[in-house]
Amino acid sequence: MSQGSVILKLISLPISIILICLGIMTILGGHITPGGGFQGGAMIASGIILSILVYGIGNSPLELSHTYIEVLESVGALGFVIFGLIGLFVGGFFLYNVGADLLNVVPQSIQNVLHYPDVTNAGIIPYLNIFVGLKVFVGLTSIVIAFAGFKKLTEEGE
Amino acid sequence: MSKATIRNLLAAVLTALFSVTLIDAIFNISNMINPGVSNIYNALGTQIAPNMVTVVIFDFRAYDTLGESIILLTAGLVVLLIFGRGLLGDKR
Repeated sequence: MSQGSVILKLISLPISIILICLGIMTILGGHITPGGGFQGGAMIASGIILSILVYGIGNSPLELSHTYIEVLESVGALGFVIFGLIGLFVGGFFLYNVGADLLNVVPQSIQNVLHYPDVTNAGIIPYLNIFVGLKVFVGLTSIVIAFAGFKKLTEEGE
Repeated sequence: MSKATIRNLLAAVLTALFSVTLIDAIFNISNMINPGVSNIYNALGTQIAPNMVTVVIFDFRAYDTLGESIILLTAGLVVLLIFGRGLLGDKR
């Protein structure tokens, strides 16, 4: 699966790292600038996919192990649901924005904990951005890793 | 006058009538639009964060985003199930 070109192998690792940094920047600025969790996660995934496509699944410098994928995927999904449950128990309905608290039903101490330290009144939106970004990044990457790994397994089996 | 000529004339007149009606509707559409709930969203959303799209996605419709991310999870699972059948685990 890996390509033989030396130029490709030289340039794709820096491009991957730049793509990953850009994705992280997009996720962290999701509530101020255009973009958000989904777009930033897709950017990070594209960086890792580029590296996997060029170097091959076995010797890519940006390799994700099975445990890593498992933990990040679970953290992304469970974090979103847990933030929703915090809103359910504290504010009254599922995924209530506890940090911003437009309805003034949340005690001040809990609101201060979940308020994003920023000049905006974003509340839990940046945290949800980060969780969705993790989920999208790991989801898209794991599909590509699975395809590359299945191809390798099939070639070895024949 | 043959039948085709009459049909063409009728088609031309009807097309002109339809286009005049359409242009009239488009010119006067701004008087008919009622902002409705959009005013509330615009007033509330700017209190939360400057990016209205993110506010809609992650605050007003966060349930939708949860379902969207679960779709991605399901897609990964189905890829592993279908394309990895017989390759992973015990090969019986």
